[in-house]
Amino acid sequence: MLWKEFERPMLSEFGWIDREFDQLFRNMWRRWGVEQAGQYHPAINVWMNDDRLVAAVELPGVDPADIEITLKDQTLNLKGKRPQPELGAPENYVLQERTYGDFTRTVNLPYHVEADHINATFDNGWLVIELPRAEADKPRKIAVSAVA
Amino acid sequence: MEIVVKRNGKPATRPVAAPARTATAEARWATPRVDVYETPDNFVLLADMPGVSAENVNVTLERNVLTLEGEAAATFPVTDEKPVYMEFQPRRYRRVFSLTSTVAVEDIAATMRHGVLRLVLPKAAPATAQRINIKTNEA
Repeated sequence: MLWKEFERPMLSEFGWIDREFDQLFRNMWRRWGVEQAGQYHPAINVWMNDDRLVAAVELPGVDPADIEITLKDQTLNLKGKRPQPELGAPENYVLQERTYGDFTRTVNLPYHVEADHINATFDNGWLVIELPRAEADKPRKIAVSAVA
Repeated sequence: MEIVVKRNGKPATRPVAAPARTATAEARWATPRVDVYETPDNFVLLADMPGVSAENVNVTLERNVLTLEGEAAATFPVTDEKPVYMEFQPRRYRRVFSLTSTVAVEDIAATMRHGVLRLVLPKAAPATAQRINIKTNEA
């Protein structure tokens, strides 16, 4: 064996336990038909205020051209594919931990956004989507006039 | 106003963590997921380090110990927006391997693309047996 990993993360980090559990649950979901084989769900963060939403997604190794972002009403859909490197006949894996295949994520937005002004950037494996709130959807102050 | 993040069409629930963009300094070391495959001439190592740029990755080799380290930049374009749903933090990645002598350590090449560190480790030429001449003082 060429590879010997002698420094395991300390127990307090739970790095490897995380991974084991990931794998365990993925297998379980698949068996129960909850998750389709070959489909995974990248980690996502969402920030928001009254004016806009920002979403960040972890997609290392994904070509930005393979990411499809769609908006329908208030539903933001993200999907794409992370292809597995194709190995030739004499090539084989020594260690394989990374996830490949189709990915998908859906976010139900709390308000309407300007579909034409959604800005998506991809940097070092992070996809960042900025969604400004639709003007018509912003809260408006209604003046109250007193009746004399 | 409610935000619903779905996983496989079903709402996913996860507590809102501390704002991720300020957590870099205190971020824990994370273990990157790694693939290694063997070709006739090389070993190729791929490590997922999302958020890490080429300037922020460190690959060191000391004797036969190969250390991969990377720090994700906190570059989310967020100002006063509140975190409402957090599944990941910008992390510091670290992983250590020991190499056997079958790798030509001086020719290791590293590249970083889309948050994936790629190392090409050429296999060393097999050591050939060397013949030692025997001198004699016999006449």
